[in-house]
Amino acid sequence: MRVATVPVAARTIPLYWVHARERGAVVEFVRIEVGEGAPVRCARCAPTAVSESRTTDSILAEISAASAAWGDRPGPNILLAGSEPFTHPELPALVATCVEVGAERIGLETEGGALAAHGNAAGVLGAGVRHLQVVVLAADDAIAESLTGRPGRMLAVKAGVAAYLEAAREAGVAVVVTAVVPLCHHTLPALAQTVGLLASWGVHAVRLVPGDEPLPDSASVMIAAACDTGMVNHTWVEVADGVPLPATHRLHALTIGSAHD
Amino acid sequence: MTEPLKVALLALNAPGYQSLALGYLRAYAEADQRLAGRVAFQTLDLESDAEAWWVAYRIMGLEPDVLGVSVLCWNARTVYDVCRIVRQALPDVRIVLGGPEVGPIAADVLAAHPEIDAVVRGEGEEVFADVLDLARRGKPFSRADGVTGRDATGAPLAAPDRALIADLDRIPSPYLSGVLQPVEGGAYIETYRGCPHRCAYCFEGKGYGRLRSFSAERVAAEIEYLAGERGVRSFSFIDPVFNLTDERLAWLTGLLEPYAARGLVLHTIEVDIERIDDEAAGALRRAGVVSVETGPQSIGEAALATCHRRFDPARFTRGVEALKRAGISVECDLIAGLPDDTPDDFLAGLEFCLALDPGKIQTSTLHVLPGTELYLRARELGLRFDPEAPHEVIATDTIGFSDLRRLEARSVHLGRVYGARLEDGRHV
Repeated sequence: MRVATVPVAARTIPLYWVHARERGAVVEFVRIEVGEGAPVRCARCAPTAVSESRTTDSILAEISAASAAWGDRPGPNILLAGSEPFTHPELPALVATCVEVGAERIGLETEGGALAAHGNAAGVLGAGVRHLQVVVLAADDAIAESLTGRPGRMLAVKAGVAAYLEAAREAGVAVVVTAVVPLCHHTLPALAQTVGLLASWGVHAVRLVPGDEPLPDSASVMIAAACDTGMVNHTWVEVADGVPLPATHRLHALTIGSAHD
Repeated sequence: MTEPLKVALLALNAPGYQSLALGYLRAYAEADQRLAGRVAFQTLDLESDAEAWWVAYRIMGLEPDVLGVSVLCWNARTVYDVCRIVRQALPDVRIVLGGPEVGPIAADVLAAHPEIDAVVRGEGEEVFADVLDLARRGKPFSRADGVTGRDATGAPLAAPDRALIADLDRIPSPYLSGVLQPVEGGAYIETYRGCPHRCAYCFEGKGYGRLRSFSAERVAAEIEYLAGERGVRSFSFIDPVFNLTDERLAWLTGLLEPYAARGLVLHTIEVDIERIDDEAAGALRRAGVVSVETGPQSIGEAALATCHRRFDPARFTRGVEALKRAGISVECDLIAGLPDDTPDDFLAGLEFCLALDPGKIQTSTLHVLPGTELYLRARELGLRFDPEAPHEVIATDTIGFSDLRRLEARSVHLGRVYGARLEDGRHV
């Protein structure tokens, strides 16, 4: 793995805003990029970029700075994201540093398949990771393969999520598994099916986020159907800014206050 | 010598708990001279998720002459199933229900459930003892004040109301009398009845009227029995407001402090948090309190007014902060679906609670309970709810059905997100 030294600024992202007013009084995470790139991207929308990890020292410094700057809000809460964190050579040290600086909630954003291997699921849980964000384009293996070009990937992701949930159950600790679905013209047609399958895996929430290209407002019908599929399958679906959402479903918006379309 | 009247008492409780209500009923009846040597009790403390046929099987094994059941909104459906099955198997058994779920709607319950003979309305100890005395003499239950029974045609027939028991010490302690054996972590203590508040969704203040207390000596004796003699290290208080007055708080925490020094811990007592300061929080901590439960239930001004609740965000925040400084975890409760609350009101309430970082946030959907003001004024207040127990709200004039379900799902998820954290540096 080539290690890049590209500085990536820490960003506080309101993962769970419950009100339009930016009072910042909800469960927020500071998102720290462990490298450039994203765990998963739609290959039809954009050529897959090579992920590059950042130097460990720069990430550790950023973790410490983020913790020190944390105010009175619940936390500190840190999400390690960016390129696939399981490919970072010093991931255990990164998580350990989050614990050392007093992080109350630690999250990982991952493609998910690595969780199934080598005791990774129990390992990250034991290290302190309580929030898992798995980026998926589709939960059906055939569709996912057509979008990523990687056969069998979703079977590994499903096994990884199951391993993490089982490790948490055995340990008796509360965790949250969120499937993050980037939306594009290629992921949209199977979106409701994707939510249904993810619910059957036991994920606690599905977050719909913008992909590489903007969606037409007409996509809001499919977004609403995905939200309703989540409701009847006891899985919360939350919709990020920039994703068309009809007014009838405004309570699914990450930022409450108005529909997106 | 005639055979004693065989009485089975049934409660379906939260896992790990036993019914204090049945303990009171039995302790009072066993001390009643009319019943001495004439009544034999069996208590079935089962869990609320027990299957009705299995519960009925347990009852039938006792072959009771009278079956008394404590009914709450959570167990009512199972109770009705049990009673229907038992009635078919034991045609001569006399079935008597009591509790907040059935007392306020006694005639309706009897009309809907022909297998039930009578419903005790309100406070049950005196009334149930009278019922048993009537049962052993073969008399109609409707002769007892506080009972709705049946007339000769089977129609509901209500006797006059029964006055509340003025001196609660007349009710023997279920613990001190040996009726209830304390369960570690699952024993309840009650120091008074009634509530100073009149929250429109709650039965406590309306159903039990004015405040009445057990004597200080009685409470002290129960605590000494549980925490001292029996060595119970964790039990619960069911008082609606633990810090009823400053004087009472000082007395009660002073009573508990020596036991706390020897390891007693108290979980989830209910407090009026706007009256908690550092002094009160310190007293609670020294009394072994590790967690408290409180509102605000809603922060929407319209809903608060309709429900007769006061809420001062500054005082509320001060109370939470004082408890946190004392090392006490706070559970903030919110109710979705209160009349006049909007979705944004509810979400603003969640936001307010999360900002306090209290330790735990508990959200629930409104249950329109029989006997409460909301039950009586539901149509006027725009509440549509399931007439069957547990009477969950379906929609309000300000929150539609779908949005109410979304708020439930969202708040459950948010609570999970908040709760998934490292605590005290402890990992797995």
